Amino acid sequence: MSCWQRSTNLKHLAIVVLAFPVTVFSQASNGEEVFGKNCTFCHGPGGAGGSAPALAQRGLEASYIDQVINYGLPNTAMPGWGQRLTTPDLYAVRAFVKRLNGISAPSGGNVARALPAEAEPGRNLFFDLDREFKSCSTCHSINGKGVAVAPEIKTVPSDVVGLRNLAASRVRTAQVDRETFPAVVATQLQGETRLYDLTGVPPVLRTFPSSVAKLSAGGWQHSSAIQAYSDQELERILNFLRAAVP
Amino acid sequence: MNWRPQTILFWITIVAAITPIKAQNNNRAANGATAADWPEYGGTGLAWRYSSLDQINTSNIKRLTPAWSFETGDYQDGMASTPVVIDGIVYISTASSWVIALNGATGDPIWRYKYEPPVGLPAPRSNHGLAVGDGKVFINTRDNYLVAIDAKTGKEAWRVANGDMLNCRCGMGGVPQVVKHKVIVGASGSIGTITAYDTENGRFAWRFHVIPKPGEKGNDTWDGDSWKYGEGTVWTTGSYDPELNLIYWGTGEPKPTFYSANRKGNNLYTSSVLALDPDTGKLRWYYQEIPHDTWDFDTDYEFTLIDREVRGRTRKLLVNPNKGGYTWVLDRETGEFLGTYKFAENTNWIQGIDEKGTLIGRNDPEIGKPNFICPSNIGAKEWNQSAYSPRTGLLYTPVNEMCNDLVLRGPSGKTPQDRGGGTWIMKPPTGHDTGYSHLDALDAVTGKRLWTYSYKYELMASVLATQGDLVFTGDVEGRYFALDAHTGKKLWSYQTGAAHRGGGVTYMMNGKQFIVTPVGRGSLISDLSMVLWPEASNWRVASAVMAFALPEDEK
Repeated sequence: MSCWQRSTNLKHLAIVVLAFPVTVFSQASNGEEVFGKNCTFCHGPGGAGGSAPALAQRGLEASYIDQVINYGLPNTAMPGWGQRLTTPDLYAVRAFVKRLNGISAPSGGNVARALPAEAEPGRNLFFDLDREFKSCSTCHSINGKGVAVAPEIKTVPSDVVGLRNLAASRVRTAQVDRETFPAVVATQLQGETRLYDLTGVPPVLRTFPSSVAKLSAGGWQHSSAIQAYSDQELERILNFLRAAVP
Repeated sequence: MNWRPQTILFWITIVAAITPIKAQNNNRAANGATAADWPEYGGTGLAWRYSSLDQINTSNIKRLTPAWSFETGDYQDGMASTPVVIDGIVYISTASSWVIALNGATGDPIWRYKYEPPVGLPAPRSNHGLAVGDGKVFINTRDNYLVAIDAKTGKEAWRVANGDMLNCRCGMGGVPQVVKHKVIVGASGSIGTITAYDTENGRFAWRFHVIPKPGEKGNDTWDGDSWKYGEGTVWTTGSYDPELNLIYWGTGEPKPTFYSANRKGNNLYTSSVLALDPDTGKLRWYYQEIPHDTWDFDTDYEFTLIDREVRGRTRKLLVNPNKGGYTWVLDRETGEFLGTYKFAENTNWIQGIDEKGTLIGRNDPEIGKPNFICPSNIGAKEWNQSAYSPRTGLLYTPVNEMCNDLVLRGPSGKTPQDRGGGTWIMKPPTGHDTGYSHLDALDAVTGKRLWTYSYKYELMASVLATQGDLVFTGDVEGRYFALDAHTGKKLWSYQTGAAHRGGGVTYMMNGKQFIVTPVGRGSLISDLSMVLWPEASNWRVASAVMAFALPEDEK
């Protein structure tokens, strides 16, 4: 196999991660807690210093803090945390160390514009954790959050009927051996077809030799996927989409 | 097939392993020994980490020699996993969730799979192992994907997001379990989950929520809406009893960790053993080892399933060494509490456990004062597994003696999610300048200590026991070594070049027994050991696998 080589440049990956709007995380991590769990061993409680240098009130610059937390310091015990922590935790702990150095959260720049208050209920429904795999975000991603099974949302239907009956022409019918299932093609490369199997939720990204995966027009309905939401809930989700989709 | 003694032994063991499933009576002892293969993380579903191979034994161990080694190339976070070996192929996983299939005789790679996270997600940086079954290799990723790889070709067969990591703040740090054409995974999140998917096509089968919702039995063990954020992360892996058709999984502590004023109650099903039906995910029974856990002691690690006599009656047991330094012994048919024993020397979080399983003399940490608690919240034992030998009846348990100061913090009131928490500072036990460790041979049921092997640092690698009456493990200074299972005497040691964090296993190929171990420090906890041992900065980072066998003329 030739897949040994890293095709993704880590730096580019990091830039993508850094470019995430901070406000997509509705359940913000607590930076102090992340720091407490991961950093106090060496840097002491509140960054007061321990076996590793103190971090509080050192006049450290924001870019230096981000750099060192993400990538570590070579030839020291400081590891890179960019790929050890979840993204919310990483943001939170970077913000916490910045606060220790008198730097408050940045405004503008990478921070997404705040959603209007009327869009909040819709956002909560879109990403609803209680519905688990029956929420919109099981198949749709907004600002990097959610699983991007479906293509990026670029237009917002004008009403609930339009949302329910959304044309789903990208969902095909796949036939593989004796199995038939609704599918979204993810990639077709080098004789391999990768399909999201939409038989149930969550969708499964399956890989087949292109020669065995037969694709035809599908009869899949968006309405069947969103039946866990009432009309009133879908109205709220539309409000959110109108605010969130550029 | 030629009928060498080893081959015959192999078949005898296979038959012995399969027979209990069809047994007419319930008196037959379960057999958790492996033979030519090492088919699962814990050896078999019974999690003994014991092999019936004895070509390498106490009489010839001194001549054990390196056979091959393999560098994975994934160095940053070491090698904390446990190989699975089937038909002479050694499957290993690395910190970045790469999977490599090696020829068990030569160490030559057969295929390599490198997990690529979806754009926008950070690469995983920790992996504890994999599962093989139904022609596929399964790995969990820290970004909450479950991936199935074709075991023959190394090509990805399917992957599924077990919840969107950025949304649910969840991830999978444990090892998948394959049972009856399902692959079962544990995850973190505001509510911990155990989820089963079809091994063939990745389709969802069932999910168990660690925390009951309002209206469900057990929700009233939480104060107000504290259940919503209670977590109970599922971060190790399960055992399986095919005869009872039950899987046993453990759950982590309730959140917030340490600060517990706003989550009064027992907080079910955190810090509990769960016995689930693998076909449906339905809860058959549970046993909460630590009601209202305030020390981060969880109920995780291995559930060693053995059949032994307790108070005059042979019982089907579940034996679970807990982070808090006590081992719980339960009846695995019913969940009945049968007893506990203490294996750590330094404990002050409770004064003891009574005959009903109640924690006596709780030393719950309090806000506003330093709370010196032993053991530390990384545990009197880490997640590296102990081993059980049916020949000696002993559970070989690695024990770390460290304490910590717990400093609690109340909620800031800024967000509903911020419900307080705390931090911890590693400390040596009272009367000691620093931490220390020991590998103990304990009667699995009574805890009677037959021998102890002392070590000046921590023991972070899993233990392997064999029918050759050998007990293997590795230390943080790079030694992989073997002790006499009856006496604890060190019989063999080899400097592999880097600290040990994973699990060594054994297998037979072409009539030759191999011992294979991951090599390389693989956990932040090792990095952070510098608080107790400044020289820990010298414990070497690596990511390799090393195999040993007897010289050609010795086997």
